Amino acid sequence: MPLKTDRWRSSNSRLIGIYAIFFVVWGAVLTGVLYVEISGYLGTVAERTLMQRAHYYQKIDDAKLFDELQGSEVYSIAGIDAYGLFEANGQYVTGDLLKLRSNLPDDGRVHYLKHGLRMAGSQGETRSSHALLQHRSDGRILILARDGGSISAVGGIIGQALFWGLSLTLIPGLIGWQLLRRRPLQRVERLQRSTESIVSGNLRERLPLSPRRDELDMLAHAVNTMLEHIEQLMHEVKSVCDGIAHDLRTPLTRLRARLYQLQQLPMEEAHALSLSLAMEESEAIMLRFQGLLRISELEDSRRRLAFSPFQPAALLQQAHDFYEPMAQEKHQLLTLELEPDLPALQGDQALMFEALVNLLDNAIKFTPPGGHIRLCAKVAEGVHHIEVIDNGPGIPEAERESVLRRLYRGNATRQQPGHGLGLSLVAAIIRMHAFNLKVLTADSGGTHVTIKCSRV
Amino acid sequence: MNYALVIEDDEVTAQSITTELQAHGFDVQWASTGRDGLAKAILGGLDVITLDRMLPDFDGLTIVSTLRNLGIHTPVLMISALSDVDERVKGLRCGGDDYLTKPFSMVEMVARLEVLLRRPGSHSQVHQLSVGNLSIDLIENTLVRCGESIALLPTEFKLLTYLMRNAGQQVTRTMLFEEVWGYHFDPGTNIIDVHIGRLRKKIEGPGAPLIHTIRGSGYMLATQN
Repeated sequence: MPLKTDRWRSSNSRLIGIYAIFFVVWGAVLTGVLYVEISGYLGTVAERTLMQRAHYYQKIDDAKLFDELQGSEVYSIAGIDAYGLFEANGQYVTGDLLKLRSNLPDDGRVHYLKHGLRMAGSQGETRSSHALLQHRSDGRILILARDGGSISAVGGIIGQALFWGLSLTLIPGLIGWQLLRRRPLQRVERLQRSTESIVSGNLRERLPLSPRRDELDMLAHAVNTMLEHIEQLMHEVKSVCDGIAHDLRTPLTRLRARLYQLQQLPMEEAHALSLSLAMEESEAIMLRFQGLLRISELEDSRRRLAFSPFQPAALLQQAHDFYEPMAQEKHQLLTLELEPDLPALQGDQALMFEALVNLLDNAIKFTPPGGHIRLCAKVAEGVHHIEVIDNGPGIPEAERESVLRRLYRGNATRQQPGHGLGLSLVAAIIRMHAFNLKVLTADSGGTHVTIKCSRV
Repeated sequence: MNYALVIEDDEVTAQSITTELQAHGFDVQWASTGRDGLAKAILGGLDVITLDRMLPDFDGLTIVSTLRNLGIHTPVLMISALSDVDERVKGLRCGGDDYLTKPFSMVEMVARLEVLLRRPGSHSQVHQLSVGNLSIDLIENTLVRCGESIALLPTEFKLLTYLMRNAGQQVTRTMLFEEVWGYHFDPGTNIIDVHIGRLRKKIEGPGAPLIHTIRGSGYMLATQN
């Protein structure tokens, strides 16, 4: 069966998938670094501004501090810069900051508070901010703060940029993938169909090429060149064989004619006997020769053009009726088992009959008297099966492959008449039909030959 | 006396065909080229022609189709080194009457020629065939022996019909297989003999046999040997 790939498994999907993951990770890393750098920079700026203010207020006398702080409101940005002055016991004196925070370390340096300070006029919410605690010489505590909202805003902006960037890239990417994945897949399916046709014997077929000359075309071109070579080689082998066959036919005809002429002359009994043996030998040569020629003929794919639909039931019935008298003579039982309503098969009926005749002939030949030979046709798992099952001695496992080779004769069969071409002829016929031939062991220990035909 | 023309380029084959035909009482002419053969065939006065499919100057198919186009319907047995089924079909479609593949046996060739000679213009006009005490009705598909009807299987009936049509004539196993079963290959074993044996049991009563076995070649239906 051809290997079918589902949409997720195509190499395109995989590449696009890997690329998408790479892109997302890279986008995240890039924005992450940006975020860290920018927020770090903004933090430093806030820190420096706070430090400047702290240094400035440090130098201001405690008595003037109050006025100075009030005055700073003129130039500092409301809601961004803030201060708070508290008594040493933490009691609020003045400023936007209403409450002294205990978690602000008392070390005169700028600290970043995630949940920052509550300001006057706000509805209880706290904001992240940079803050600094300064002890005045009169024991009061001054808190200076700068809103950290801009850092959070930077985070938000970068997050949004990441989101839009990814979605604007990934969504068209997915649509593009959906559109792109079809064409290569369709091409691969076309290639697959051509290959199947070639495998089933149509060596004239070539893989389709596109005008794009891409990597698939390079591969298809290489395969086509290879096919050209194979076809040429096979053609050469066939023409050599045909030549030999043709050159041998005439001398064989002559040999036979001469022996026959000789036989018509009066002669002694001993001579007549040798002559008749010579005639028999020449018969045997001819039979074998014709068998071999027939097999090479079958390997010629043109014959497939003559395929037409036929009813397997009628064919099996005919084969059964043809061999039933023979089985009866050998005191064997030849039964026909047909499933009702078998669908038609596509092929060469005459050749299929020849294949069945050979199988039945073997079965009858090798099954002892009293044996049972079954000729069956059924549909199993959607496939036509034609079977010849006997309860004879069977074929040893080691010989099962070789029985299909030309001129092979099993150890046990050398005494039987025949030219050893029957099963290879069957194999050639089955191969030509692109059917499947299997030699198995029957439950009874005999031979079980199965022909798996085309799908129903 | 029957007149036969052998168109065959191989001298040895032509000679043995000629000798064999002469032994069977034919008057034989030989043509070694297609041109010569065609000329002789057109001249007429022939009962049967054997024609090699591949000649040095002409294709056998051309000769037979030329003859048919000229309205000459002398039976032609095509002999060919090309055994492919397609070739057989081509040969018969061009007007050949029978097709024999090289290498062939002389017995087979003569038997086929004799059948061709005996072949009447049209089979269908004959409704009844009788040999000895056997009589078959080709319309009713019945067999009667001495007034007593005998049941036959369809294949057996076909077999007997063919033998009776060619009564007194030798027919080979291959011819029987082709005619009765309609396939063109060598069934190989003695399966035809088994069928003949079965038929014999059904149709032959006590007394002289009707179907005679001719050793090494085939059968003949005849009232006497």
